[in-house]
Amino acid sequence: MESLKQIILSLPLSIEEKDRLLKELKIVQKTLDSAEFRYKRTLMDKEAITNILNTSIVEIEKQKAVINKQKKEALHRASIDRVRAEISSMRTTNDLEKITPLIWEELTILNIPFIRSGIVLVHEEDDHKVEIYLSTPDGKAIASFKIPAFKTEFTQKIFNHWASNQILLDHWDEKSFLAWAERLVELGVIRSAEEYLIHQPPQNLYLHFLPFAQGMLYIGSIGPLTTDEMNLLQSLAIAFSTAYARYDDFNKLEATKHQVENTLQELRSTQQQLIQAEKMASLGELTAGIAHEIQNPLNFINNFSEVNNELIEEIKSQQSTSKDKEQDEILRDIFRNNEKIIFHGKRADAIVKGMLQHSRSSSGTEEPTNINALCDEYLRLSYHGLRAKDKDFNAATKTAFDETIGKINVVPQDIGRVILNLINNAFYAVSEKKKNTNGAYEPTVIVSTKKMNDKVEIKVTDNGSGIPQKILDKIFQPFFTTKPTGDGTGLGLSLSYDIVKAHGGEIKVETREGEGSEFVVQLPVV
Amino acid sequence: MKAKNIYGENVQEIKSKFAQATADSFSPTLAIVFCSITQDRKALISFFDEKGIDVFGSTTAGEIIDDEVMEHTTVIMLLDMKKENYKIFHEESSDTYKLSNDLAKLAKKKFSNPSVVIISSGLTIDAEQIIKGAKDFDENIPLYGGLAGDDLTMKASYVFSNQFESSTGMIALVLNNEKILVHGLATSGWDDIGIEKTITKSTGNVVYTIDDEPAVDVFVKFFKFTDSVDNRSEIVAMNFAQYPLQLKKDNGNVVLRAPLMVDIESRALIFAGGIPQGSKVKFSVPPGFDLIEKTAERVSSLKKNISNPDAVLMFSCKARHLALGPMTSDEAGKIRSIWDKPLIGFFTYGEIGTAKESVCDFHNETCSMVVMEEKK
Repeated sequence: MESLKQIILSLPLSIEEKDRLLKELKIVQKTLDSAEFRYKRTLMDKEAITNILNTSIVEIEKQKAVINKQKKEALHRASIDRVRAEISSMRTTNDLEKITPLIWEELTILNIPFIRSGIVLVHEEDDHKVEIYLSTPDGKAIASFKIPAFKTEFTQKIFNHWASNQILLDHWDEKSFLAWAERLVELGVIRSAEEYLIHQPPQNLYLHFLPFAQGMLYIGSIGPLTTDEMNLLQSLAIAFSTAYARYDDFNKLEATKHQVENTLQELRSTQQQLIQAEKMASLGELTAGIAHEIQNPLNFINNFSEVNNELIEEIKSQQSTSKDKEQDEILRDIFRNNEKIIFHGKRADAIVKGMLQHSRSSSGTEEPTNINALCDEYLRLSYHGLRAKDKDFNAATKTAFDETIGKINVVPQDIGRVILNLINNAFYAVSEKKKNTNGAYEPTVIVSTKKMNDKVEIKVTDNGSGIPQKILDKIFQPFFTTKPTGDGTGLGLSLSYDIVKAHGGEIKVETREGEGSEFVVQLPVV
Repeated sequence: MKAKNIYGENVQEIKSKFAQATADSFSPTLAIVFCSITQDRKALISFFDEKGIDVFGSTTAGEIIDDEVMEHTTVIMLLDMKKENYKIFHEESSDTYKLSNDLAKLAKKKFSNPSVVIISSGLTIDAEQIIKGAKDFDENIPLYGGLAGDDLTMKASYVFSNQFESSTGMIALVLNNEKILVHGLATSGWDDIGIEKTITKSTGNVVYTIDDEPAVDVFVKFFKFTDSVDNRSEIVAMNFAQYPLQLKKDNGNVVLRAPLMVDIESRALIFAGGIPQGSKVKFSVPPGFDLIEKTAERVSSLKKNISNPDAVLMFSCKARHLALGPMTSDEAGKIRSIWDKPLIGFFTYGEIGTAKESVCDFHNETCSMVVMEEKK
């Protein structure tokens, strides 16, 4: 430009024209400068903008990745929260079954590619047994079994990893898979390999076991899982552990509930027994009191009746002739009446004595007694006694004695009385049935003994008419009897009850109406 | 009032041009003097002082007169503003805040409704304190102006008035708003691009690292200058100046910060304004060459406030000059043609003004315009 300026200045032109040209030159210069400036700048700017945008894009991509990661984490958290919510709504042991399909559902929602899933529960205290539940991703059960860990190489591996809280990863080809299935068939835990494999065995199975407190969570897939996916599985394993712990607690709760219910039941029946015993005790006291009181007047009745008869005898011997026939008859009547009074007085006396026996506390001493011999003796006693009273009486008797019973400590007279009562009742029952039966009927009474762990059992079984339900709870009550009036005191069973109780034993009855009864006495072997 | 512009490359020329300008009945009361440090300030001051004309002066990094851009010269706008309608205050102090606060107080004392055009010298001051000082006193006083320059020699800039000259001082031209309509606007035309970056180490207006990388390296990476960066030179500054940073401030404003210089040892960039450590910044899209049109368009929005001004002042950032290159004078020309009235200005080391829909702030790479009209 400078040279151009010089050229213009050297031109043969007027000053105004030169000025004009110089001005034009200046403008041209400026325009060129501007153009050059714009050009350079455009290039620079273009490069600058490209650089800025490129780095911005890189930054944005980074941020996008961060956001995606956060999104994924949020989804994972939501899944785990859902599982946790379900777990916290568990109320019974059955609810555990709902949790596992839920876990598989969450994995499916999160697009984790798995083809097999399962839960392994480890029972360390029980012979290192592993309990395996396998299912398909949609929750259908494939197999479930429980075997000691050492039974297969793989289950031992599972156990070892669980014990050291390590994740177990493995990779099986078709062959390994089949070998495993066959081993399971061998052990008898699955029926057939086909059943186990459902479809084709996977050609490539990646196994992932994640440990939790009570076992392992298993996922099988056709490719190895990513760290992210493994982290999610770990969280789900922990969630399942919580669920299982809850399930365990429910179990314990249910067991405790049962126990409590049982105890309650026992308490109730004990209460009943106590009430019964109370009743018996008070009745006993009552009867003792009354018996005691009545003895005195009874004595007067008996004595004075006898005295009367002696007086009548005297009158009769003083009379030479029976001048007055009427007087004679009257005296005879009075005599007979007195006899009746004496008879019934004696009867009343017997009743009172029986009652007093009843209320007397056992003064007998315990001594080692051969129960079998005792039973045998009293059976014979009873049988012959009844035959003596009633010639028509006939019944078959059987004995079944447990020879391993040695001697036990009892008051022999008291226990003897109990056995006697029971046998007497049995004979009565069968002979009554015989009277009322037309057809073939073999009255049978069986006396048997048995030794249990800490008790000795004496059973008296008859095939009489049985005891009707509605009187069953009255039979041990004092004075209760089904015999006709005058026959028996109704005190036999209540006395027996007291004696057995005093020995710390139990007396029970089992009966079937029309078929017979069985009385069972259990005595403790101290 | 009447305004006339004169310029010259030396005091002699000024004197003769002054004589020409005042040949008619024009009797100026106020001389707004923007000159390069190479010019003889003292002579100029005493020349006007003898004539009883108030001097409002500053050194520059380049001068603007009407539609021309100059360097190493003196440009002067002569105004016959009524003396009772304005007052020039000046003070010298190293406490920028106090300085500006004091000047604001004086302004308010003089007129109940003042506008203040303020110019500060000093190369290492915290220019934000100028605004803070004045606004803390009275936030309603309109504030315009900029920082004096020194032809990019970075030795010392000066503000001066009759009987005053300082390289660490401030001058304020206080105008009575009741009598003089004053309106202004700051506009830059650089928009932001890309994602936010953090100023990880900085003190004052020196930025050492951006996102933990040396500032110079960051700029080189993006703006890929293979020209030796090891040159503490204008060329480097020119290259970087067109890529100012967009700084988000606490008051919600986004202001530009233009890199002016490079410090090789620390690989730091020196900006024409403070950037606090920890600030968030963005790069700017280099504006297209329609920037000038855009700027003119924005400035012309002042037309609705003042349709017939007497004079126009222009404080334009030196970085802007570097960025626009030969087209800078086009911008001046375009703006002048809005009102076709005398326009005077200079290239500053920072501008004070209010951008559209913002509060008053300290800017870079910006054009801060002031338009005045004396009421009849």
